[in-house]
Amino acid sequence: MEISAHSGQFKFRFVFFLLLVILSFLTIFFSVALGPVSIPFKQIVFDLIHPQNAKGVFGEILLKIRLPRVLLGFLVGGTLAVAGAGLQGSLRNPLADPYIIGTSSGAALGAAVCFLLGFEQFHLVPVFAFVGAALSIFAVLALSRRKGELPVTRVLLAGVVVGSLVWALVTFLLTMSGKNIAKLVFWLMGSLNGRTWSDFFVLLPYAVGGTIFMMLLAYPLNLLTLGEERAESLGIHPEKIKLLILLISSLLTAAAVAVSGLIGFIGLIVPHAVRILSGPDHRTLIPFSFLTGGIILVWSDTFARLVFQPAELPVGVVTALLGSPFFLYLLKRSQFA
Amino acid sequence: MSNSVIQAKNLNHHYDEIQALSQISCEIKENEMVGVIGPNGSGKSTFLKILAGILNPSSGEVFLKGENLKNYDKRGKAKLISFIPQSFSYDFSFSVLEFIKMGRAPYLPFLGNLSAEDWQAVNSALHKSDCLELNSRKMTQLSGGEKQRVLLAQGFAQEPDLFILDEPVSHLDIGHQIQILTVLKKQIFENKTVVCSFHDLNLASLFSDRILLFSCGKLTASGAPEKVLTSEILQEIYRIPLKVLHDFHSKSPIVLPDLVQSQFEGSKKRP
Repeated sequence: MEISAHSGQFKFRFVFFLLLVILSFLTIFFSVALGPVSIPFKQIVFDLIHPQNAKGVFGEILLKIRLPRVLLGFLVGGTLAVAGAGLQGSLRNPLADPYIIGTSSGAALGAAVCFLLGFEQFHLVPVFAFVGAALSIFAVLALSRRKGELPVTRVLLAGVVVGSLVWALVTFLLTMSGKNIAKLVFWLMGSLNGRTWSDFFVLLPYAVGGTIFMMLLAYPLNLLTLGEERAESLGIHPEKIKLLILLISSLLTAAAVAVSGLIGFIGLIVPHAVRILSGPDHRTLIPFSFLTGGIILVWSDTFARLVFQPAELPVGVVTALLGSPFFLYLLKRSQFA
Repeated sequence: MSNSVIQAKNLNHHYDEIQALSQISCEIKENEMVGVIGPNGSGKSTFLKILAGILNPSSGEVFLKGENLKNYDKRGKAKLISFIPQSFSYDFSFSVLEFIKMGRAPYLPFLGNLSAEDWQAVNSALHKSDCLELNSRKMTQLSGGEKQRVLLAQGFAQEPDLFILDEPVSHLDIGHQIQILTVLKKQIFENKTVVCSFHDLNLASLFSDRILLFSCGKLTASGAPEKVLTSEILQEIYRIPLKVLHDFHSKSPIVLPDLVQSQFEGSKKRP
């Protein structure tokens, strides 16, 4: 028996990809329709085809409020999911997630510093957030490394410690600043409320660039799952690849936090769900996670907007409700799907 | 006289303050199966990693086919040496086939697409390691012995000239041990060279053409199994009474603890 390229598997993955693309469009379409004011589907189609003619209440709500929020939510979800996939693969840790290991808190610290210095109008928030995220991730790794290895639970523990410390610093800075912190606190809780096109365009280059960069490293990332010694024996530089992937994950997390605050667990749940459906190969895992992350976050946000109308939940609350039971389940299994 | 595949010259290595290897020099020739033995912490793993180019020695040099190992790039090295690390745990649900395909990494373009030639190597690796019936299983569903066999198959797909393995059979039952070592031993006849560390002295004796004995970071003895595995040498190093018998057919030395001389004597001969 000779084995060659598995066309069946390829076909399955292609169909799965198409399905995700279609689901993404449907998700965006339905969630812009839903809200305190429902917009008729016909109106949405009409306004999206001819945005220059979109007028009236529907047009205003659709193009100025719902569409930027939904598209931003999609990008944030995708970005966090890709960051989570990168962390899980490079650390060989099924429980890694930017929120759980403190990367998001680091990004929030960077962003808070940026706000306090008054640099936010120059689109520097993601840059400051990136510095904070990268510093916190390397602090976590330095604390958890033992005999050249990164045991799963030590990374989690170090993440909790670094995360709380950084979080305390954020709270301290905001309290001492004397600025209007109510707005900042709501931002930190993780919300897409009141986001505009400018937030969307701040995130877009980081989300797209980071995801493409991560996809280019997908095959070396597969090899990295074998452990550093075996990966090196297959001809890659494991330390360099790992460093690059951690930096890209930090950048993606930072950009997402800069526009939407701390939204947890998307980076944990999504890569696991995708692995169950289409396998752990990062060449498909990364793009599929991006789309799935977008879909899940948009629905979580739609749920957050709708359940307690006219009040609104921060979307971070919804993802935490979804994610923490899942985390406990994984902790018990402690294995990749 | 066959050619040298890999040669170590005056290797020294220390982790922080602890000296792990001192003044190791040796030469490994084509088509040899070399067993590396020694007590825990004697420097076996360190030696194998340095030989495989995974670890840089504190001082000394390694020559691969006459060329300093430092002058090879990682991919070039990966086409010649396959290193299989100790205690391999794997939690990702790749299929066995996908896992073995990763062995072709040193030959593949950046995104990892396999050519017809690569597929041929993967197929022959599946056959050699007897993994054909496993190929559609997931890595997470395999037993310890199967996992080790699949890891070996990945090494075969790499098509190196030299295999370096760190205790590949230490945590397997005797059936799987013999199966894996037999597959490895067959590589000798396909123009490959195998360097493999053992805890079990008798397996080392049965399968090795030559044995390197390490103790406290030094290469204490090297040579054919019957030269190295003598009760005088072994008792000195393992610090327990040992006796050496000879297998009737293979003439290989067989090492047994000598309970008559040891303090366990009383406990065994209770009337």
